[in-house]
Amino acid sequence: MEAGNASNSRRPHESPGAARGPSEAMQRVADQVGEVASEDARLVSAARDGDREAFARLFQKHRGTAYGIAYRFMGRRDDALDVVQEAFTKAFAALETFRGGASFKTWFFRIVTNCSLDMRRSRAVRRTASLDADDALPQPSQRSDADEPPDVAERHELKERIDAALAAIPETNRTAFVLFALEGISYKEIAEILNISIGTVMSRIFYARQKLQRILSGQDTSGNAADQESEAS
Amino acid sequence: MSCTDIHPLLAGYVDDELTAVERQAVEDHVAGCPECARLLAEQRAGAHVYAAYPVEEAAADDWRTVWAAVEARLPARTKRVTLEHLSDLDVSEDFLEDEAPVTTEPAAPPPAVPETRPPEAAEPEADEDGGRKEKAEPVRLPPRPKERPPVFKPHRMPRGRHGLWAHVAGIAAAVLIVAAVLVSVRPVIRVDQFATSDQVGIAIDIDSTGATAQPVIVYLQSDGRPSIPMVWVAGASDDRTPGEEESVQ
Repeated sequence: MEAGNASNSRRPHESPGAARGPSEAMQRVADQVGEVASEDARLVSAARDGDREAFARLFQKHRGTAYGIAYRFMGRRDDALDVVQEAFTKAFAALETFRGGASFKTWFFRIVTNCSLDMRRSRAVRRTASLDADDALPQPSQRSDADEPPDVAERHELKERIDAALAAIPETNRTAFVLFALEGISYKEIAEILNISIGTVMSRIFYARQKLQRILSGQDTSGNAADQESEAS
Repeated sequence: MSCTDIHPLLAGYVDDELTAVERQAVEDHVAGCPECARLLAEQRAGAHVYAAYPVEEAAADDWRTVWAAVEARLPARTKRVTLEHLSDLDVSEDFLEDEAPVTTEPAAPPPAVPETRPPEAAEPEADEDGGRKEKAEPVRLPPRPKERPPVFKPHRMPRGRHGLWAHVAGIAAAVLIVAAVLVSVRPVIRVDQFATSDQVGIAIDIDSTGATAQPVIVYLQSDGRPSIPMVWVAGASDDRTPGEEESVQ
């Protein structure tokens, strides 16, 4: 399926012999990936048979990366945990539909991504709807950092700036960009998760990163409001 | 290769996701193109900035709460567990022990399941090839019932040696039930009701006074005689007169 398509449609100018030679390090990584995939397959099979411990092991293995994905989309710990909970619940409920064509990891991270985007949209709508009621509450950008240590305040400020810049990036580009920011998710896996070609992944990351850097450096002052409104819709 | 072709490759170059041929093409192009060299520097800076994005870590208690909620909504299936493993299945404590000390207190009742979204959004939304399409609409599975009716599986007798004993036990139980019924109505089994020598029957052991009635299993021997001494007792359908007895031994 998409894995094969992604590999085959990599880029037109790629020569057949252009694949990187299998070095020992790459072989080790491939072996580790294979072991993880086979362990996942075993756990999925056991979970389908009703083994509760297998569910728990799958949760234990993938919760960290799932949280990383969700946090980068949601920007808040509580929201990210909600996404993780929702994604695991949906994945386990739909486990019988997982046929093993893709790895469990890819399949599950696709669910995490979709849950993140859904929840982000629904909460954006909710925030917009309750704007009047929240007028009296301090907004994140208005939060007083006077009682925070300098490094914490600095991190808060950096995070808010990046979040604001990310909000100005079109969702499709931002999704690929955010997924790559996580350790262990390659272009190939992103292609499988998003069901696009590797070339498209590369292009989206390029434009997202370019936009992010230009906003943060002040070269791009495109308003966030329009993008946020379009997301909310 | 034109600048337009090179631009997407700049991201792959920074992220070390290019083939050797592609890397060489990028390096050759950038060496003679100041604009693409500037874009490459921009890509490097953007990657560096986002690498510093602070992520607030989740605490062990957070994971316990999330797992409790996920576990409470696991599909209802037959659990393949043994009694010996039951203690190991308290995974909400067990598998978190690397992150938090495991408490030795009795297990607390599971926390309430936090609802994260309205019920109408609860359908599973991903399938095997249900990836996000180009325009980012989440791919959803066809709606499936939230709770499946329990699957009826007919009971199957075990096979092998244990299966044989199970059959024997079943037959014995049936015999005892029949005997109990017979005792309750106090019938009299006549020996001539056994048609062949292979048959096994039930007789009512009645003493001379007829005061007690115990079911006994009677095997007919090859000569047609019962395996235990029996005494005929006249029944309602018997043509013998009441009180007439005949030894068949």
